[in-house]
Amino acid sequence: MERAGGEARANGCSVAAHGALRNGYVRGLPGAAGTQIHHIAHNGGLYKRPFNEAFEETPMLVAVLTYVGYGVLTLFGYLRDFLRQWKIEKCHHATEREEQKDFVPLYQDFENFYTRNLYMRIRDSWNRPICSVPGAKVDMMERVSHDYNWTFMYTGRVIKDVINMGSYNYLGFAQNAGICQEAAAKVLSRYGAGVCSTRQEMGNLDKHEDLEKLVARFLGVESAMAYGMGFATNSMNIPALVGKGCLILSDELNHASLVLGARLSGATIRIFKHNNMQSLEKLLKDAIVHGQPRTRRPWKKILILVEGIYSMEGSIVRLPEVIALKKKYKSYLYLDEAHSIGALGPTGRGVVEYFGLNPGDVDIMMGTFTKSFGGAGGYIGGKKELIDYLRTYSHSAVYATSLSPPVVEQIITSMKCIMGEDGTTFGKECVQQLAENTRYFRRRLKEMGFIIYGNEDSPVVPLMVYMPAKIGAFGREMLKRNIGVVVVGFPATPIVESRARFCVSAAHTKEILDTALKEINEVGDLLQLKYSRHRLVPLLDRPFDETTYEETED
Amino acid sequence: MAGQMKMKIKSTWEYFYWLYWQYQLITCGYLLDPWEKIILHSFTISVLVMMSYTAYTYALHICLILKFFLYLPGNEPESDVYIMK
Repeated sequence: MERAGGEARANGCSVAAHGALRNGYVRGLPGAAGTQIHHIAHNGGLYKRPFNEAFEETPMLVAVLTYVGYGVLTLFGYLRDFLRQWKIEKCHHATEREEQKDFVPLYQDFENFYTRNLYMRIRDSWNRPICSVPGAKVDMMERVSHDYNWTFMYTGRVIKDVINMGSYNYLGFAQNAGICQEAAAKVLSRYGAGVCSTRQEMGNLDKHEDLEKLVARFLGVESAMAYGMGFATNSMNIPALVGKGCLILSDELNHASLVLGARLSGATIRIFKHNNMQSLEKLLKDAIVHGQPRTRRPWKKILILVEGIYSMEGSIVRLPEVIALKKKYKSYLYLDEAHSIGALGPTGRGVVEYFGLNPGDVDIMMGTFTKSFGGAGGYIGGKKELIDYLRTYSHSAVYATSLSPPVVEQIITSMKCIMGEDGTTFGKECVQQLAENTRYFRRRLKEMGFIIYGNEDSPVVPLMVYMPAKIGAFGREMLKRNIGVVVVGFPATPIVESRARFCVSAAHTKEILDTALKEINEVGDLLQLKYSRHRLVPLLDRPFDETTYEETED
Repeated sequence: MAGQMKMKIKSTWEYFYWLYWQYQLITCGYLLDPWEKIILHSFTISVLVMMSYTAYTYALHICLILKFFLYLPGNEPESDVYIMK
């Protein structure tokens, strides 16, 4: 039994500094209450660095009040729907035509009820139009609504220099001046903006080949392929890799693109609890032992879908354990590094480098250029046979337009900058600045008393807000103080766990972060958002229960 | 909720306004249209009025129950010994 601060436990779940853990399973330790005994992982020390992840439990009073708030809004929603139906009130939302009133109703489900009665009331926090480059500060167009958010009008004023805490600009490459912009401008004058074809026909530029070789070198894989859209990379390539008779094991909180790709493929999908390795192992064991449902034949392929950083929780996947499980049960791993590429790791190579693992262990490394590289599009990296297969069989390669040349040049320049091949240390400094900013920001927010989810090293910082009225109020109050934040509610999160999500960037200087923190502190006091109880709760020995899985056949 | 109020409170009226705002945030009155707010406030006020009326009418009963359960000092407990035959 070794005592080392913050080291991983047997299942990779570590004790956080405060608060009760939500999905941790602890082998029985009678003496754990009140003392912080940490163990090196039983499975051979898979983690070379401490894995500090914490999800503090929702305080009971806050949960009750959240439900009260939603109850009030639901009752008023029913009242408004009644008034709209009986024409006492003007109906602004989409309804069926008069002739179709006797048909099957189109807008009676919960999603539509939620949209017209709850979302509409706080809609001014989303879709805010910006009119400058989304760097550390951004300009926003001011808009007002005279009929309670059903329609908006521009006042004509531009709110200048709003601190941007919402853009996925992790390394600060979203700039309108500098080496990336000059290179992109040169390429624009040579190649133009449009490609006018797909990759397989006439849209395969030499720039694309250069980009792919560079991405392969950056990731440390044999070969890579780039696509025009990050969402389409996932949803169009998973169907090319798996089909009927295959099994997909997908994390509970995977992104919509992964879910869509999995469903389009026609494979059987089973879901394991978020970042829970016991759940994953149980599913793998069941899959190997029992095989396909009716015929009991072995599965053709088992594919594990995980993400590097989960953008709503700010948690990092337990990659060492996933790879160990993958090797043990002979399955394949699809790692979506949309948020973690460029943002994690000492040189920005992503979550694989962060844990010090071999990139060859991950079968399919997918990522996007949107977040850390300031471009657009996605890539898939892996073995040469895999990428050659995808060049022929991927829907995205055959039908979708390829990347635009200036965007490709932006990505190439930023990637070379991160790797240090442009001769400066600017890229390395950006990566280090991001890591420092992340730690500083998270530490200060936790000290103030907010509930912050996720891993210590993740640049995505979700701050729990819970109550529906506070979502709208937080967005508006922060904009009044010249800070732009993204607030998230249902359906992107569970209905009671709404949050404000901050994205730390390397472009933020310490002064900007301090200003933002001061304002967040003030708004937190104003809205009473400081729910954290800073209490060490003795960990319960929660036995692992049945995992939920959803089987979709055919 | 462990939030301490560190903001500058200019006066008691500010404090009461802030309390009113907290009530609005918790019950989502903040999001409602003005005529809906009237309905919500009248509902809340009627509930509070009824609660206070109940407390006023049954004050004696409530005190007795509390005494029974909390054994308020200075009161001898009633002898409630049942005589069994």
